[in-house]
Amino acid sequence: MITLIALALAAQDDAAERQKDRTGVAWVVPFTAALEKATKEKRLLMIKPIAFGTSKDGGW
Amino acid sequence: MLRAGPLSDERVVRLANRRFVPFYFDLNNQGYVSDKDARSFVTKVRKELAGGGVPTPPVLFMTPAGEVVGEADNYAGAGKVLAKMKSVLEKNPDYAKPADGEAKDDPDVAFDLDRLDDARRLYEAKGDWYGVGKVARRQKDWEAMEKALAQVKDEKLADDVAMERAHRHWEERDFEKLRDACAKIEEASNRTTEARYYLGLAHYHLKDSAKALETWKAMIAKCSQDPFVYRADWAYCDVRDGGKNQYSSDAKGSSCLGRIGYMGARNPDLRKRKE
Repeated sequence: MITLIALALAAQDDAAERQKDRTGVAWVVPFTAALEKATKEKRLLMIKPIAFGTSKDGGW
Repeated sequence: MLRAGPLSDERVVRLANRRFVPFYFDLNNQGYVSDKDARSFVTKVRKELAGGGVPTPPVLFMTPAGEVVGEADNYAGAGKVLAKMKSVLEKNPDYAKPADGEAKDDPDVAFDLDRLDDARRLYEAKGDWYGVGKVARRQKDWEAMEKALAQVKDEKLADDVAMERAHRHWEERDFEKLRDACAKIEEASNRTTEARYYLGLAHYHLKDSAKALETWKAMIAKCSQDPFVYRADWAYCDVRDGGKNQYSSDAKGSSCLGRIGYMGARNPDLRKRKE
């Protein structure tokens, strides 16, 4: 139970960090959520893979 | 560069949010924003991204079933990225349908989809003169823009109106008027980063690079990050480094936002357009 809570909090942290991107793009994270949304709403995924590292605040 | 360029272009952002599900992740599983599910999904169809030392990956447009239906080069300009987005939607109409509850006559939707004629007509039907003015500005229909903005009486929109008019000076390459218009926008304004970015550009094109750098640096230090802060950081490095396109990782932290530098294309706003 404690492990599950810790994992959920970590996921929240991850999403919050990534939302610090201020381009205005409404990134959907994590990928499972993005895929679920794309499937449900019948949308194309617009995916940017980063090859040269990301910073702790979600920057790239 | 992508973040300071196309992903900070309002047309790209609006269309991405309206019709796509945007996602980014670090290909390195140890990276800060890594995502194993995403990596597996992408490398299944783009095997070249699975190894070490990969080339800069493009933006991929993919169906939820994992098919790549288009891509945009990492160094493409905003116009090319926008064209690609529109093209993949046109070729994949099943993924381009209106969202549940989306009204056909919503001018904001038409605006987001870059259907400017429709947006203008719909804003006009609603008597939204600021909406008409902002669309006319993007269509470079200056007479219609001035006519519409003159009808905006809401004081809360005063800076928005001023900034729309400043864009006309930018498009007409009247940098003195641009400088004066942008300098009047106060720090507390909702358009302050945009105004400071264009103020820096006005200084730059009036051949005062030192003042341009000073303007951008001060703005980046004071303001919360947003698309104009990203663009200003790119412009700052570009002007300071004279368009250099190779950086050593030892230079980390050299930009105002702590980036190494901006490789690839130069900031297009620094180009001297032909009259």
